[in-house]
Amino acid sequence: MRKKTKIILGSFSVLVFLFFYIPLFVVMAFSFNDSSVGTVWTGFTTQWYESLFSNRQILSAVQNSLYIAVVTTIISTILGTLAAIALYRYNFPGKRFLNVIFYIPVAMPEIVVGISLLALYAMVGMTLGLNTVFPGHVVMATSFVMLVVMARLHGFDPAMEEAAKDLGANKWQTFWRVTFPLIFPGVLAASLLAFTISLDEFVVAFFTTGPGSNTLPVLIYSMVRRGVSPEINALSTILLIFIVIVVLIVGRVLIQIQSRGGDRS
Amino acid sequence: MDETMVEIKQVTKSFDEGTAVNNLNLTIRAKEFITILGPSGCGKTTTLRMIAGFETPTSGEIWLSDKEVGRLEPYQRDVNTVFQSYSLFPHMTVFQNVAFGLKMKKMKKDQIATKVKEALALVQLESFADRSPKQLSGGQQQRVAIARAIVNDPKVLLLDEPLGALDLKLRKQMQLELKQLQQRLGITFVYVTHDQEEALTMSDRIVVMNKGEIEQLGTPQEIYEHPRTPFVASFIGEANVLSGSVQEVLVDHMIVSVGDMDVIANHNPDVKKGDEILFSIRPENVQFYESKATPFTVSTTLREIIYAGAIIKFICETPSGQRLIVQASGDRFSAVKEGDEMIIGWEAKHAIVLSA
Repeated sequence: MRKKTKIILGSFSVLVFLFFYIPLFVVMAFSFNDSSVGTVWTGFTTQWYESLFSNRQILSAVQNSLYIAVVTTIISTILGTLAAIALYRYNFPGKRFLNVIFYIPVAMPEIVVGISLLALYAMVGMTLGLNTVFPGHVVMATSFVMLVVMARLHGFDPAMEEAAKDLGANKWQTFWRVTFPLIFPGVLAASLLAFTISLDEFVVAFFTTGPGSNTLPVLIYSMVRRGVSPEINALSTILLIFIVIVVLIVGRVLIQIQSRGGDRS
Repeated sequence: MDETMVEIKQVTKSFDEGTAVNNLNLTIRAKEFITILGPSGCGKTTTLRMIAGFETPTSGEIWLSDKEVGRLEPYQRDVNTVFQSYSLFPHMTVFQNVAFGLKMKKMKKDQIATKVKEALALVQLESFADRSPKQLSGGQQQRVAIARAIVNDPKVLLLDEPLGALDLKLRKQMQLELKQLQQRLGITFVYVTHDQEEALTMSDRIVVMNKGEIEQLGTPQEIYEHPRTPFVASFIGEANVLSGSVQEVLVDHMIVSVGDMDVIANHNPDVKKGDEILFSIRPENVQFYESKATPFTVSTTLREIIYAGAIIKFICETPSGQRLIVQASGDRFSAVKEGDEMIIGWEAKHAIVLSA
């Protein structure tokens, strides 16, 4: 019985992983396919990578997306962390309400965010450009950051801060020398989440970018409408590898922090 | 010895749930080991936290030496705390933990190193400086917490049930060490505990608190031998608390009738004939007598025998249903059994009149 369970569970897991990763491997394989149709393998080539790097449209979209993602990450990590600390530590009237307000963007359909922002921009007469993407992304990412940091704070012993103050640290020193180092793993994980949310966000970006300032997902969408070009396979492969590398680095940092004894959870 | 170190003046602390500390007045002398003792919820920890600065009094003043500190932040006060949960910083080594307070004072690096070494030597942990707190046992962590506090040369060291998480044997050992440490350093210790034995062992003076107020303040001996209230009598050690009316007041003792029996109690200048009083007798001060011939003895029925190692406790019931605990040592009473008639009595000086 136990053995049977093991076999069933094992093969089920393998199927799930295949389901997840086969499409990715197909994309990676076909990015080296020497055929512009893309459904049959005709030979190995790196020409799609070459044409990708000479495609100014794509390069500028990559630049745009990275710019949006980095700035969004910085703003939302700071805002979300501060909000989490405030909501965790202080009791004030309207706290519950504020809590809910912060959770709403997580559940809010992106299409609603996109349309509302578009309506708002039209109302105040703002011209759409690249920077008009920020509000939507920051709002969504901030909520996620707050959720992750809140989870981290729940394992945080308030007596740590009392101990620091007792030993002569003022509020500023207490935060930077005790509170922040202890919640740092949570903040790091949250910022990674914010980065990936912003980098591959499509709907809000689609509604709020102006002409000529595409983000990568928006550009890919417009390219795909004209048929899947092998260039897109190459682009996806690069994106995939980039994200994996970032996750690995962050993972390593987190493990180092934990082995140093910084983790309390 | 009589110099005042901490003075709590008419301090009240109210929370949403109610009043934790009610109009407290307490003077703590320099270099004394004072213990605030009481059951959970009596306000002892709140009192300590107000001295530390983690709570602000709703009203009243707290003086530290010659400065009113009641509304100052913890980092503006010359006191340090040893926390119940140790609260060592997990992202720092033992050395960094102990150095933290000195670093905040912007002390020079080599001076910090010397002082930290001294403090760690004081708690016998010199060789653990580079360890992470996580790698230490509970007792060692507690020692680091003590070193981290005393390295700052505080005027007052506050200890919030610091031994609560340790096992009995280690706790006994740490009690002695703490007491020795306090005598060596000459720092005022304010120690909070609910463990009456701990309080009796370590303290110069004990403050017994109940429901946010002080029940009694005195040396361990005074508290144990002359409890002032029924609460103190039964919270510290065991006590038989009896109520009766005073029949006669004599020079050195009184005769009190409890139910249908007449017994003796210690003389008390505030009591006069006809008063209804409460008085307490410790189980070890109740004796068995051979016969009813001795005056003021009571005939009881033995209801229960509780064996507790070095001593044996006997629960005796009077004809009117009053139960008394009698404590005896040795095997003089190995032959008695439940249901036997036992004659009990006590000396007048051991029956202490309580104020209700």
